[in-house]
Amino acid sequence: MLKRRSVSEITFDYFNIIFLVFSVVIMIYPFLYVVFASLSDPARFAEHSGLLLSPLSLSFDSYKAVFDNPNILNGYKNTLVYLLVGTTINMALTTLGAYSLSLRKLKMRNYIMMGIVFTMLFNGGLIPTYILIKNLHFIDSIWAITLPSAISTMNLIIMRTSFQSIPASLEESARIDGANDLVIFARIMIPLSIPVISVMILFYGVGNWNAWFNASIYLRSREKYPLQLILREILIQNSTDSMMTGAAASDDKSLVSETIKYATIVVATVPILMVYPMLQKYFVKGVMVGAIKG
Amino acid sequence: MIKKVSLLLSFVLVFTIFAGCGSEKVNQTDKTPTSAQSSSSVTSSSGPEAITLPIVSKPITLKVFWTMDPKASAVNKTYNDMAFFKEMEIRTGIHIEFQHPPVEQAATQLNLMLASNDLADMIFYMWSNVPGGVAKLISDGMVVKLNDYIDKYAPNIKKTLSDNPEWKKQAELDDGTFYKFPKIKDSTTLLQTSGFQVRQDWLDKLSLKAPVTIDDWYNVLKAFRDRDPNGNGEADEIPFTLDNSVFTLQQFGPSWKVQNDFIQIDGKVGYGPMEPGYKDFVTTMAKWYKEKLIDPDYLATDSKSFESKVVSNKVGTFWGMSNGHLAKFTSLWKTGTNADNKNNKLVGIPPPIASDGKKYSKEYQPDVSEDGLVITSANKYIKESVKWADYIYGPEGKLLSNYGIEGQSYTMVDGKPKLTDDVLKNSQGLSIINALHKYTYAISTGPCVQMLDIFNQTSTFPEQNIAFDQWTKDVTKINLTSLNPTEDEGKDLAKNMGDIKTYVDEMFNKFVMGLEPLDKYDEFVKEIKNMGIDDAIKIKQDMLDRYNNKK
Amino acid sequence: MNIIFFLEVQSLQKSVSVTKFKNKTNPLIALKKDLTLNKCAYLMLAPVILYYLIFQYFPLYGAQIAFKDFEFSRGIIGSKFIGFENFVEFFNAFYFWRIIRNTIVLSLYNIVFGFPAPIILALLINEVKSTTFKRITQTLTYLPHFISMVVICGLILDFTSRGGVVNDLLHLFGVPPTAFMLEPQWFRTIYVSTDIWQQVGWGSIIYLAALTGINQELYEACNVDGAGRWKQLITVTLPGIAPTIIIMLILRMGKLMDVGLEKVMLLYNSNTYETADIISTFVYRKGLIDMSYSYSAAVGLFNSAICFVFLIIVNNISRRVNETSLW
Repeated sequence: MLKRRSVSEITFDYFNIIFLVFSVVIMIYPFLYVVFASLSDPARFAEHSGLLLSPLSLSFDSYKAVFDNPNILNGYKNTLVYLLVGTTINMALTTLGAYSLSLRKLKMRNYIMMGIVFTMLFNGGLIPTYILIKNLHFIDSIWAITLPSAISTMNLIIMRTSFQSIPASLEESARIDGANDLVIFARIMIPLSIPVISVMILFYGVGNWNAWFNASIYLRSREKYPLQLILREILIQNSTDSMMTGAAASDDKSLVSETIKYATIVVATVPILMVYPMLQKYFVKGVMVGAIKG
Repeated sequence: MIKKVSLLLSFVLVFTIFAGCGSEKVNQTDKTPTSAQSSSSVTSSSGPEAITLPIVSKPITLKVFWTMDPKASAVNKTYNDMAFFKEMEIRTGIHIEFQHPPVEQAATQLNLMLASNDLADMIFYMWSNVPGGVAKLISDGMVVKLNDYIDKYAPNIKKTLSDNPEWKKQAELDDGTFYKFPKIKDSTTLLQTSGFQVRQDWLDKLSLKAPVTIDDWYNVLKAFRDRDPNGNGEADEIPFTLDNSVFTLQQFGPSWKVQNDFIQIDGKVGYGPMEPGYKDFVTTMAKWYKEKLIDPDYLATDSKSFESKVVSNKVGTFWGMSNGHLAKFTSLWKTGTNADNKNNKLVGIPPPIASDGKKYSKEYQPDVSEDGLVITSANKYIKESVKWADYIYGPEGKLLSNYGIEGQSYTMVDGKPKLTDDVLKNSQGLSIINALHKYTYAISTGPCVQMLDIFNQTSTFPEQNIAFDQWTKDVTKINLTSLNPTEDEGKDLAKNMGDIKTYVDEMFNKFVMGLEPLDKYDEFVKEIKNMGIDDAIKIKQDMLDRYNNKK
Repeated sequence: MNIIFFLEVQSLQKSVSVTKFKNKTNPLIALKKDLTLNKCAYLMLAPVILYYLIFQYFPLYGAQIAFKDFEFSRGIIGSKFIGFENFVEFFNAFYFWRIIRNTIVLSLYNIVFGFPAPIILALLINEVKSTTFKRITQTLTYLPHFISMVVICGLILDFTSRGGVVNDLLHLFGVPPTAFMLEPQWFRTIYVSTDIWQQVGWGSIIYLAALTGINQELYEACNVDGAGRWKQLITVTLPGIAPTIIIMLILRMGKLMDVGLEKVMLLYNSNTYETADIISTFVYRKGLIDMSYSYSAAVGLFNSAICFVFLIIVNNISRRVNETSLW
């Protein structure tokens, strides 16, 4: 089918591309800055201010300093484990919950939703949660990292919305065929929701990768520290910002430079950045088409 | 709809109130009566018994909660990797199991530990930071009062404190309760680790002497502004700036005997902005700002931009730290690619003298630090713990904690310990401070007597040692430290000071930057009075009086 | 025989209808019916409910701390009850109205400008024909989200300083330099626009995913009708992602008082307190002085209560106007 584009549409397309390219440029800039800074010579970087368009006197010293830390490789390994276990738990619970709550036939649905949303705003604070974890004997274990934040209510709600927008006709025809809720869930709902599920895997995955707070409260053995926690410690060595150290400013910095901060960020984010391109192919249009015809 | 919501809410409320029942162990630690510990047979007639090693015949393990200093965590997995603790275990027979919270979360983890009554045997922490105050923890029995134990088992600390009455006052609570093994700085030179710094090479180039009075400063700053000391033909010099995320313009206050907080002069407490000198201070700062002697962007200068301004040769004077600034900048210049910078020289200079010719400072730390090692009610070996900690304050303990292991980190030269090359010129490229932390911790913090000599030996540049001297010699302290509020005092102070501090900080910078005309100054003072400052001053005066009256 | 049978059937019918009538007014039986009918679904829901009960509702008793004079040795339950004292102290703060105003204004600016931005970006990306261009754009625009706040704020302070890039640019137009971060009137603009800069790419992901869920046949039908791109946008695309947009908006409104502490702390200074000092920064500074758990808990509870009321209102409006709502 030949589509003729009007003049205004063509102009729009060109301006759109220009605008998007411009947006991309200003948005990758902070990341480029970080990469260039991490590859710069510490002394030259210290005296520099303003835009950074390339590494200053290319130097890998900062990366060497970061990887010299004996805990880094261990941190990577731990984070990977927490990521896999955590994301699996997240996805299992969230999809089950989202689908069940999308069923309009459940009479308790609204009450449960209210109850869940309530917890988004109100919580008891750190002390009771800590005591709970302690009483469950989860201190210093992977469960303290993955269970307290097993479900993100926001993600649950988004997923529920997506399930709700799948036409009811599909569900009904399956029920007539005798399928129960679980079968419908597994055989119909999930395959139809691949885009949203990919997004959730991305959101939870990134969240788990970047997570450090639960680890900082509940872990006792440094061998179990995730990457982010180790890296934050490296940043603290370098920081005069009292908000980071929490203590009154004292002359407590070793002669370590700013560029380490940037190498740290690169080391922490590059792996997870690789994930999105891999998930992108699931954001494919036309997934619905076959389903309706069937 | 509203009915549904209120039903849900009331259900939730009821549930939460009852849910808590029986779930949290209400901490009913028995209040350990103060002197009832050992109705033992140890005759304490002639003071504490000397410490004999090993302290225990059968090895015991003690759990210690202690934040690992970042300089140490770069080279140790736990403090047990540190030579000091390995040696202590050999000598005393006591094994330590460390709980090292991440630096950022030290306060949170400590508070959680207290709230869940899951105490370690000993805790090293900054006790002025505890919600509710440490006195409460002692009276509730969670932290053990140590006076009797010290009398019986801790000869070293007892002697150290009785030889130095001022230290004794700082270490104890107002009622004489001794509860912690602190870090004690053995020299007043160590009490200020930051101060004014100036580009000596600029002074030399312009044939100027280091400024002594406020008028000197005015002239030197003007010269820096006008006579192009960085020699690039542009008037881009910033005569004075600072890292506003850490320090403020208040550093000049002591030259008028004021600051934006409480001060004490000869035992009398005042609040800086209420003092007459504060107006002169603000007026002078406003004048300097207007004449571009102070960095126009000083308020928005964070660490990174401060660093770039100094390292790129724009700054003539600033207030900064010894290691973090003086040493770091000098080192960057020396190792950098720009050859012109190699002769840049930063030196520390004393604060400008006040109208009475004396030097004052608001940055003075107390000799006895606010952090310290305490013993908790969970500890089953209090006697042994006290002995273990006290050992560190004795002659061998001091060597071990400051210098490390003889033959490895130091050797004795002419009867004095000298650090070895393994520390000073580490073969793996570690900095001096990091290398020393493989062996011991006194240079950062922990229970010990921190010696001036170890600082002198670990400075990267001689200018640092001179700077410490310049910043502390003949300098009188005007800030308040080592005071202990009672519970009520703490509450009353907290009520108003949050607002007052916000107001003062805001107005100060507005006056200096010319956003608020100086003729509004008297209204400013009136407003602070209305906010209740007089009550706060009285409370602080009571606290100071109690401190001064301690025996 | 017939008559007896008939009478029995009649009484049976009566009892059945009476029972039915009873069931209508007995919620517990209705609930039981619901559970048995939908056993499978509720079983699927069970672990989720368990999670919320254990990890969210059980610890809620800790919220009492806002009403107590918390002491470690007594724990939350044992501490003395002081009622609304903490709240009163908060309401009486000299700067109370200022921090409330700043918090709400900053949050509203963020919603008005920051909420549509990712949607617009997603729509623009969606209009591009080339899949490669789309993919690359998506991946690159979300990069700033991963840079830590400390670095972003360092960049902001640097760029907006008197000698920084922004002023250099303005210099080209003959505009004299302004120290933006020292001026209260610029704070909100800089805060919100840099927020968009950092988050728009990441925020657009959810909308891009929603866009792929729109039935392609609807577009084809539009083409057959000869409708232009703009019309397609209005009649197909926007309605297609409307549920996502609405839910996201409701959730966003529910976080009204939730303005991040870290970014404001890194960007503000006493000169900009007038517009930049918000509830969380004020409480943080106060906490440094008196370290009271109860006080910050009280303020937090106050925040949450306001957000919750707002959330309920917005949710109800949404439910009446269209079908999408949280409950």
